[in-house]
Parts: sequence; structure tokens; C-alpha cells
Amino acid sequence: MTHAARILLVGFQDQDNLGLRYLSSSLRAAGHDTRIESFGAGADPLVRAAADYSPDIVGFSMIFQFMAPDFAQVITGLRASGCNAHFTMGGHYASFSPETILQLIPELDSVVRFEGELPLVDIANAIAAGSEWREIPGIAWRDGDAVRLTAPRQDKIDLDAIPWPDRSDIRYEQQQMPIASVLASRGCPWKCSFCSIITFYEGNGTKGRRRRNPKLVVDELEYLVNERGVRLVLFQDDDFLSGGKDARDWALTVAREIIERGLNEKMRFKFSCRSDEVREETLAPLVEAGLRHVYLGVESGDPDALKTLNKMITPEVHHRAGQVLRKLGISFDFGFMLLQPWSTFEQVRNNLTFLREFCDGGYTVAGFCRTLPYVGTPMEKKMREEGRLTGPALEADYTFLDPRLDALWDFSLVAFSGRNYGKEATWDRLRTVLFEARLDYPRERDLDFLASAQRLAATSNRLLLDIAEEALDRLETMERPTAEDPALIELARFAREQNAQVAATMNALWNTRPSVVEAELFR
Amino acid sequence: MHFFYVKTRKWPTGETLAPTEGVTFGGPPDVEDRAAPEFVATGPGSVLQFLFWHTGRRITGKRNVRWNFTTMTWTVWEATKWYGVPGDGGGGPGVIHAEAFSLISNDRMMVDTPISGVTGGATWPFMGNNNNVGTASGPGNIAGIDPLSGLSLCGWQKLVWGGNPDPDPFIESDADVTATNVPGDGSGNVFTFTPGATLHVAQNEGGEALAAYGSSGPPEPPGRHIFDILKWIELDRGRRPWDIRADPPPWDILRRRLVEDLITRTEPGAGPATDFNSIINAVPNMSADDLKRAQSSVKTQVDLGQTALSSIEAQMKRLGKTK
Repeated sequence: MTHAARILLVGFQDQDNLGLRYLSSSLRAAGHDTRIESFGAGADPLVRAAADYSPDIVGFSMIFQFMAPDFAQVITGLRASGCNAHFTMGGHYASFSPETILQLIPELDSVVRFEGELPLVDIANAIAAGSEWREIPGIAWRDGDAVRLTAPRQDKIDLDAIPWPDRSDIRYEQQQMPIASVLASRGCPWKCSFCSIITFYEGNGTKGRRRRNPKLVVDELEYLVNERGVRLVLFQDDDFLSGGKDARDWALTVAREIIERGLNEKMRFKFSCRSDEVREETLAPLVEAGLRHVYLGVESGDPDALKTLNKMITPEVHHRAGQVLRKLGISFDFGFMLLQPWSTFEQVRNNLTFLREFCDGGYTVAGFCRTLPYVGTPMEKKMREEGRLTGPALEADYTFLDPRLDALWDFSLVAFSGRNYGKEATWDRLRTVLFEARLDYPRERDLDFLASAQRLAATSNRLLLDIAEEALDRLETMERPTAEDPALIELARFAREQNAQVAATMNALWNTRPSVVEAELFR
Repeated sequence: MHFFYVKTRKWPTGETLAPTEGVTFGGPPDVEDRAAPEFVATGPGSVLQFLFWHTGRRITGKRNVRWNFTTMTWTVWEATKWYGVPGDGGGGPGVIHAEAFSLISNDRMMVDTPISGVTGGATWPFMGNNNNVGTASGPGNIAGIDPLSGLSLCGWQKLVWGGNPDPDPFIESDADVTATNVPGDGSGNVFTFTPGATLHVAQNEGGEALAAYGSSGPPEPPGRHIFDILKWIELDRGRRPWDIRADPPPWDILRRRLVEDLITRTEPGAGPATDFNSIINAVPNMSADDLKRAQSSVKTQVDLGQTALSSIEAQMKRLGKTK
């Protein structure tokens, strides 16, 4: 006899974790009961939650593959506590490497691959009915020592047909500046070599980007703003403007709906997009509707590196986008990979030169990381074919072709610890300060504060880029490059001392105008 | 290529007192002799006295040190001679003043007291100071805190102003140093200069003492082998990966662990207020690198000062006052 299943959903709560919340709402719509628990405090809270809730299924959402060992520890602890529910896991890594994850975590009964709403509902239905779940399409399970993959799911979820994410446990009224995440589309038509988004959705048989009905998107905004008191919306779309003219028209419809319903008087929003999609005629209406921040996937300022990354874009386009955003007066930040696996010295120099110009005047904050070979990306596949990956898939890493760049990266991690990297890094804090300084709701802009914030950003950018260039100069002449070089150690110490002074002034400035958004909005 | 560097630092704050001396070797063997002068002058009326050598592996109060390098399974070997101003420490007649010293960072005394307790007739804490042991009441054995700030106690050293001038040098060597057991990594099995976790002090004895700390963890792996990563995660449970959730990318948090020693060694201090007059006076003697550094530093100070000025002027504007 069928009954409603109880599903405990466990995931890292980062900007709402909409993936988990869409699963919850779909399960509830199918008549099941759900409860959401945060991951990150070890097994004990989950053991207590499981004892209290007696779930039939525990679903784990693993966003970052580096968390796999921690998930393994928690899941082992939960099983050892006597919880005999069906354990399943979803997310990018589990979808691409179900064999690895099922071997690493033997307590898992199954893995839900790619978009999880439909297969998880099917699992819940089967378990509630006491019927076989092992033939459900789009999952993986352990069969003795083997791992079985069922047929890939090809039923292309209609985003307008699934319910809004379950936000029932979020207490917006307790937030000083209520912030909600919203997803207006899924997928991306671009094929950047470092990204697994396109291959993830291909796993469900979908290509490109699926956009929701813009009026239904604004219905969700209206609910969040008028009924839940949300004042800042973070669109979590991979690329809000991708898809050519149709997508631009779609975005303009969203803007028009927001204005017509008066929501632009009550909230602000941010989204992510590519530089070549930043056009004044497209963005100006969105700014009128409340757009106040854009995250750009810049990634590199060197034309050859951009080709390697398959970004299909040039540095000039990035600069043009920066100019448009400055003209519109909204804040922006960006992703930037100073180093990628095929980097050359010249490319790194070009990147630093690019950053100097792109961030001129402290309008935005310079920062950088290196490219990592995530599972499911074309880059990871190519590096594996070339024999350049070290270690197992879960922790695949690489060294650069030029060992001086390995030393440069080690130096960066040391010298810019506290500036680019680490908790409360100056880079993150300055991005938040600049965002807030340009935010005009719920309080007005303070132009003096903005000028001071930009000056600080300019100072921090200068230090970062000067020091990185000096390290590059020194490493270029070294026979056996090492970050242990005494001159580099002194330079790193200098970098950190200077950053500490900038950070102290930034904190003092911050205290003159306390934040209304969470300090960790940008990190 | 191998590099031998000798630094001169001020006790207890760690300021650099003189340019680093450097020697480059093609390979073993090599013998390096260094005699630390008893005094160094750092300016008119400012003279500091020798306290101790950090040889790269050990602490010694001898001013003359010989390094016998026979293996050179290392790239950089750093030695430091420390000087101070008598009276700056806190030790004196009938008072032993003890400081904790990180052999890894080797750039200043640690903040916390190294003393966990004292047995015998000596008094601790003395006069409300838990770095001080009073010896007027009797002798004592000072026990060190172990571990302290995650570092293990390697041994104690009594410091004598001016050091030991014995011409027979303290012998240091790299004979048993391997690629995974390198000077400077602070492994407990490297720093073995004074076994034992206690320091005996006689009745009425006074002066300065050092408790040296190094890492008790495994030495840093020579390679960057990713299979070691999980082990490093285990060592780093205090800092969960999700404390830093987007940038740097997660694996670089792990790679960052592999350069953790360098991060510790370059930890910035509070930093003194900028003294522009001293900078101007020092300019004629600055090297090209020093000039570049000074220029950048002064620019930062000017920028930060401008930010402060802007805040003042903005508030004046708010209050309706003119500049």
C-alpha cells in the first residue's frame, strides 16, 4: 500500500541551495513529506534529525566534489547511528562519477544523476509503494562489486511545470536585508573548456539554455518581495543573457514586468553574464528595473588564453563591457584565472596588464585564481588524455608546463593570503563594500563613502599587481624557481603587511557605514 | 643550486637589523664559519647585544658557529643571529623571563607564555606575570606548555647577553638531513638541541630563557603528491573547506596547505606607524629593492591617509561645517 514517503534532504546551505529546494518542492508536489537540514556541522545534527524525523530516504546534495570526504564521514556516522533509510546523493560530481562516489561511500544506496527532480520523485514513489527502484532511469546503484547505471533520463524538465523552490524554512523576516536566490533558467549554450554546465544538462538530453516564462519568473519575484519581504534577489542563472536576441527580448520582458508591477521600487537584483552580452541598450532597462550588480565571467585578459579556455571572446570585449557597466553606474565583479594549465609567462604578464586597465581607479577589485580540472569539463578530459592529471578523479591536480609558474602560484598563495584567499579576504570584503556603496536601496548612496571605497580598492589593486609583476620578474630569471627564494619570501611578507594595513582601513571605513547585506555575500 | 642565508634580527620583535648575507653553492661539501659580533650598532646611540643563533636546526648561545654541509639535500638553509637590548626582556636579578619562540617562523617571539608550571621553591607566576619565574624563594624546574599554538616544544635555552665567546665553534651539520627532514620545517626530530621539556633554574638566578617550538606533524612532503591531500585535510580540521567556499577554488585551499609553512613565516605583524622622517633619512642607503618597497609602502600610507581625510571631510560636510 502506497503512503507518503518522508525525505530528509541534506545540503550545504549556500545562497539558499536552490537545487535542494527544487527537489523538496517537487517531492511535496508528488505528495511526499520533506525536511531540509544543513550540511557542515558533522554527523551529530543529522543523527538527531534522523532520529526525530524517521526518514524513508535521506538525499544528500553535494555541490563541491572536494567535500566528498566530509560527506563520506557524515554518511558513515549517520548509518552507524542506526538510520536504515535509503541513502542517495546528487550533484555534479556524483552525476559524472557515480562509480567513484559509490565506492568512496559504501553506505549510499543510489546516486541520482543530473537534474534530480524526476528521478528522486520516482525513487520516493517506489520506496513508498515498496516496489523496485533499481530500474528507474537516471540513477546509479551498487550491485555487489559493480556499479549499475540505468538508462539516462531524457524527459527534459519543463521549468514552468515544476513548483517554485521550497523556501518554507527560510526566515527572511529575521534578515536585516532579506536576500533570496531565484533561478529563471537552466543551462548555457557556450562551451567553455573549464566548465561542466553544458555536459551536465546534456546528461538529461537537454542542450543550450531553457528559460522560464518571464511572467512566471516575475510572479515568483512578486511573491518574494510582497509576501516574504525580500529586498535583494540573486539570480543564480548560469548566464542570464545567453541565447541571442531571443534571450535579450526575454530579459527585457522580465525588466518590463518588474517595472509594471512596481517591484523596482521595492527590490534590487544581480545576475551573471558574459562580457559580449553587456550592451547598453540591453542593460539600461534592466538597471531601471533594479539591476545593481553583474558578475562577469572574464576569466582571462590574454587572447591566446581565452582561446584555450574556448571563451570565444577577446580582451577588448571585456574592456568594452567594463566601460558600459561603469557608464550605467552599477557595480560588477568577475571571475579571473590568472593561470590555466597551458599558461605561458607572456600570458600571465598580459593578464596582469589587463587587470590593471580593467580595474582602473578601483571601480572593481582585482583578484585571481587558477583553472582547476573539474570532472565533466572538456579541459579535464583533454588533460587526462595528455596524461597531465595527477591523483584520482576526486582530487585531480596538475603542474604547469613551465615550473616557474608553479613557483609563481605558490608565491601567490602565500603573498596574497588574506588578500585574495582565506576567510574574510580583502578581495571579498572590498567587493562587498563596493557593491554596497553603489546600492541605492533600501538606503541612498553615500557618494563620499563610495569614493573612499574606490580609493581603497585602487590601492589594494595596485599592491596586488605590482607585487605579482615583481615576483614574475624575479622568477623569470631563476634557474631553479621556488617560492622558498628568500627575496620572494621577503616580498610575500611585504605583500601581507601592506594588505593588513589596507584591510585595517577598510574595516574602519566599514564601521562608519555598517553593512546591510551579509558580509559573506562575495566570497 | 643551494642557498645559505644569514639574517640578523632584533629580539624579541624580529625586526631585520642588517641586510641578509647570502652564499650560493653548487653542491656539497662546504664549510661555513660565522662569528657573530658581540654588538651591532643600528644608529646613533643604538647598540644591541648578541643573544643567540638559530642555526637553521638548533639554538645556541655560542657566537661562533660552523656549518658542515655534506649532503645538501636542501635548497635553502637559513640561519639567524639575534640581538637585543639588555633590560628589554624582563629578566633580572632573581627573575627568569621566558619567551616562546617558533623555530618555524623564526621572526619574532610568540605571544603566549611557554610556561605551564614550576616545581620546587621558585615562584610562578611572579608578580602577576606568567612569563616570569621568581627564584629568590628557591630553585625550580620550569615545565613548558606542549603543544603551544599547535607547535611542539623542542627544548629550552638560557640566554646570556653577549653570548658565549668560546672560539671553539658550535658545530652544525646537514649530515642527517634528508629531503623530508629539512632545516626550517620545524620537525621535532630536527630540532633536538636541548632534550627535555623542563628548564632548571637555581636559587636567585635571573635572566632570559627561550622555549623553542616546532611542528610535531609530519614533515612537508617533498613533492606535491595529491594522494597526500586527504592526510593534510585531516591535519587541518580546524579550518573547514566551506569556510572558504568559492575563491580560491577548493583544491587550492589544499595546495595552500602545502605552502603553509611559508604562510606562517610571512605572517604580518601589526606594523609600526610610518615614520616618514626615518624613511627620508634612510633613502640614500637604500638598495634598488628597498627603494621599490619604500615607494610602494609610502604610496599605501598616502592613500590610506587620504581615505581618512575624506572620512573627516565627509563628516564635516554632514555637520554643515566648511573645510
